[in-house]
Amino acid sequence: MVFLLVDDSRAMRMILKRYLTQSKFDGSTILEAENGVMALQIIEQSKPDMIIADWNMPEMSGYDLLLELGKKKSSIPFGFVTSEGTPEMRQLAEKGGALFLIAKPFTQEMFIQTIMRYQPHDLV
Amino acid sequence: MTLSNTLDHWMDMLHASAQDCAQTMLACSNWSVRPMGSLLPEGMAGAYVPLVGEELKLQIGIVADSEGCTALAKDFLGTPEVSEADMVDALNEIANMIAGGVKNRAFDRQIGLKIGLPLFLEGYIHITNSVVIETSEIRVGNTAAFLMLIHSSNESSLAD
Repeated sequence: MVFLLVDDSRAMRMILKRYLTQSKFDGSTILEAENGVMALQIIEQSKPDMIIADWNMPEMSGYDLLLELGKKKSSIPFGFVTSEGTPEMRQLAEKGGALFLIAKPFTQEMFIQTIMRYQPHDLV
Repeated sequence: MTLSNTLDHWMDMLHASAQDCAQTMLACSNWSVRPMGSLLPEGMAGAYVPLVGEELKLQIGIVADSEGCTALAKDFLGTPEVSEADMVDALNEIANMIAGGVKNRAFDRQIGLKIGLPLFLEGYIHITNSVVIETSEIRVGNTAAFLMLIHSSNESSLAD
């Protein structure tokens, strides 16, 4: 399975990567982008199976990335991992087509369970 | 409501958010908090995140000495060693997460809070008459650190 982690914080990308590689997703390919613009370039080159993005990022936010992918009729499963999880943001995320929004802080177990719930089941 | 009452309420939200972070992402079951009033910790480094609403401007900080910052970063990243850049990034992310938790807890106040960019600083904070500071000492496992809430001394700025 190929994951694309989109977060301007290298620390958060390191944590998500560790959570994935210490789980049943060990062996997956994990691609990384620092913002939405970089993510779009990576998505064009190597189509990931799931995108996990932060909400607030410079250049292009995770929400704008979601909307951009919606315009392109992308069917790649998309979820947010973000510090803010207000009801307003959850509504916006759902409306934009995101499958989940995990509000920080969270445990490895919570993260992996959410990914397992929404992964394309033919890939793992 | 008095300024001290509203400050207490914001400090409660800050403590709850920080405890949540410590017990989940820093995998720490041994947590304690001790309010220190307006004590200004010296010789510390740490990350500060602004929380800004229409009538509210706060800075939320988590600071520790050099060893404390490194220990928090190691716990957070789950690695035995961290570079200085990773330590700064980790502290910024921890502060960002704590601020996010405060924002989520304050959501029902309808004050339209926005989180700004985290800033990592080392050194001494000079407090003026127009600023109020509240500090709590926290222990995250064996690591000592301080939570700080900095805001304008103008009572209306607490938006209560």
